[in-house]
Amino acid sequence: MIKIENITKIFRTKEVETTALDRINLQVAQGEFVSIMGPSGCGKSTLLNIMGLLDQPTEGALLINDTAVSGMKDKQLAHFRNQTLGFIFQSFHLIPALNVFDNVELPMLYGKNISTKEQRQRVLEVLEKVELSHRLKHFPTQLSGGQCQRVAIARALVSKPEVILADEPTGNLDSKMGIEILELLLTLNKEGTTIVMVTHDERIAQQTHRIVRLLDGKIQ
Amino acid sequence: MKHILKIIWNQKRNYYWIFMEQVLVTIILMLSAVSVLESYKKYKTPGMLNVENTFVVGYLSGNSATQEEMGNSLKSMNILLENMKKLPYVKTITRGFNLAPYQRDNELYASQVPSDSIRIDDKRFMAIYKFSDEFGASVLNVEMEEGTWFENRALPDGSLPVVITRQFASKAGWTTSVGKKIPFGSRFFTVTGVAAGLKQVPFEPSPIAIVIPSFAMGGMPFENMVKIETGMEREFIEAFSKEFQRLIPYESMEPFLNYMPSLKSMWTSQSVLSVILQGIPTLFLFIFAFIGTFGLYWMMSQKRMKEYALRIALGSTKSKLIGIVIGESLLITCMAILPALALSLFIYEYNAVHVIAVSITIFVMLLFAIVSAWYPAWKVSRVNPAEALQYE
Ligand SMILES: Nc1ncnc2c1ncn2[C@@H]1O[C@H](COP(=O)(O)OP(=O)(O)O)[C@@H](O)[C@H]1O
Ligand SMILES: [Mg+2]
Repeated sequence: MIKIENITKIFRTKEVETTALDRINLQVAQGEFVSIMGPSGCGKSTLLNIMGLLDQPTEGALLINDTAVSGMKDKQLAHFRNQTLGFIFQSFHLIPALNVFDNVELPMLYGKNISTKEQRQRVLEVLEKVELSHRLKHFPTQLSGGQCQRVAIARALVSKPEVILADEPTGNLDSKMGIEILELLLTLNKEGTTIVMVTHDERIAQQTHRIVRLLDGKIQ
Repeated sequence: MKHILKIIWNQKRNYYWIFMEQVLVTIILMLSAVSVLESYKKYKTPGMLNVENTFVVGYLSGNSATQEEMGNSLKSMNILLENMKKLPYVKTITRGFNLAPYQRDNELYASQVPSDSIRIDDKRFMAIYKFSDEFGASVLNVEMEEGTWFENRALPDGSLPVVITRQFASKAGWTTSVGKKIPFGSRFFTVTGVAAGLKQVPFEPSPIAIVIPSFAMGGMPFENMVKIETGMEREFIEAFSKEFQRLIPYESMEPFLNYMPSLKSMWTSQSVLSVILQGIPTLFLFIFAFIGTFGLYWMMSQKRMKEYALRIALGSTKSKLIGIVIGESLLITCMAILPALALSLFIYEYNAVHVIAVSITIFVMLLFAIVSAWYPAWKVSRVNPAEALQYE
């Protein structure tokens, strides 16, 4: 599903050079639920961003579904992000000016032409899944953290991606809500979605198929 | 589109000032555009007279002038002009009154000759009286729409030939005017021609006017126009001054000589200047509004960088990001144009000038919207999503 070959990422600023990832090799199979663990600053987010086509590696190759990603045009990258990938962030990143329904609908505005009726159908479906059907007209500021993250998950699901990339999705939530979110992700995984999740929480990581441990940009 | 509207609607408060500012700018821009275009339209109305290589000459009598001096001067002026006519570079001389353009403003032209209202059938209207000899038309290159300029004699039926302006004919309601009689006291004028116009100042339309042969009016002052060959201005001025000193050597009489192209450009620049003076505040307002709008969009786009990065993560292309930033700006401006448009329907009648002015205003405002959002949009399109979405 996702194949990472010898990826290195170096951040260069005027003063310093940081090697965030150092010759990483990693494969994620279809249907897997992988968690990435490691201390703060070891490169977890950087790795996830590269997998999510939000950042380019300094060296190395990334293949998604056996397609080499390097050299793709902006339009193809956008299409990939929209159709194949779904993102979940630690701080939710909902658009404050849009209500729950509109936030969830957003990816479909960038995707294939789907009739308005079907779009609506899909939004309602995924919101049903995250148990937020009764909050359609609410704005993000009117929701709790756990609810916000469930909206974000619904948004990641709405265009039926093959892979979900989640960067500390439970990091901003208390443990009870965190478990709720994890259970949701486990269910999605059982239904066939590949998931790569960054987490700090050992207990949460234990529930996934595989744990990848990073330290100073290298896999241990 | 609907999506952008939603965002704007849900954040009305953020857009309030931009919106109000643009409503104001649109209205003021529209008023300015109308006033500039109206001036231009007046400038382009028919009847601009040709004053190339033409002088107005005469004398000014001071308070101390005696009866005898005045009488002599009048006679001497006739001789002077006859002598001028013999100069090889003098093409034509015409003697008339109230006909030479650019001598005074329109109101003074109207009050120069005690004018009576004209009465034709059941219509009554005021007309400006002008006097000329047979050369008036050729010196000023008057464009005749119908008929011809008159000769220097009465018509066979004893009536005086006159030329009227198109504006006169319209007022009288005539479709063809040549041969029409105009009552004048106990006598009649007969129309021999219609001039397209006899503009007195560049930025006003031609007046309702009637030109009467000057031979019929004894003992009145003259405005003499002299048309010369190109490039002989200096020679003419010298010759005129010399003859004036020789023929009218009175302390109380001063030569009077005006180069008409200068007069014309003076009038023109005066009007253009007043239009510009009106335009300057508008221009400043426009510039400040632009800076303000640009600044606000810039600030808002910076504040919303995470949102734009997120859109990339969800599958937006860079060009779609640009589209959404500029689209917001355009939509705000479109909405801001509506009040001005409504106002224009109220205060303006439907005519070409207003339609063009309003269209120009709309066009400029849309350009304003695009330009003021362009740089913020470009910056947004270059957002690094990984960096912007970083959790801090
Ligand atoms: N945009 C950036 N510019 C410079 N350095 C960066 C940037 N993003 C991350 N880094 C550095 O790269 C390393 C890895 O960061 P990150 O992947 O965010 O770590 P983690 O998510 O594991 O906490 C850190 O040392 C961080 O300071
Ligand atoms: Mg991180």
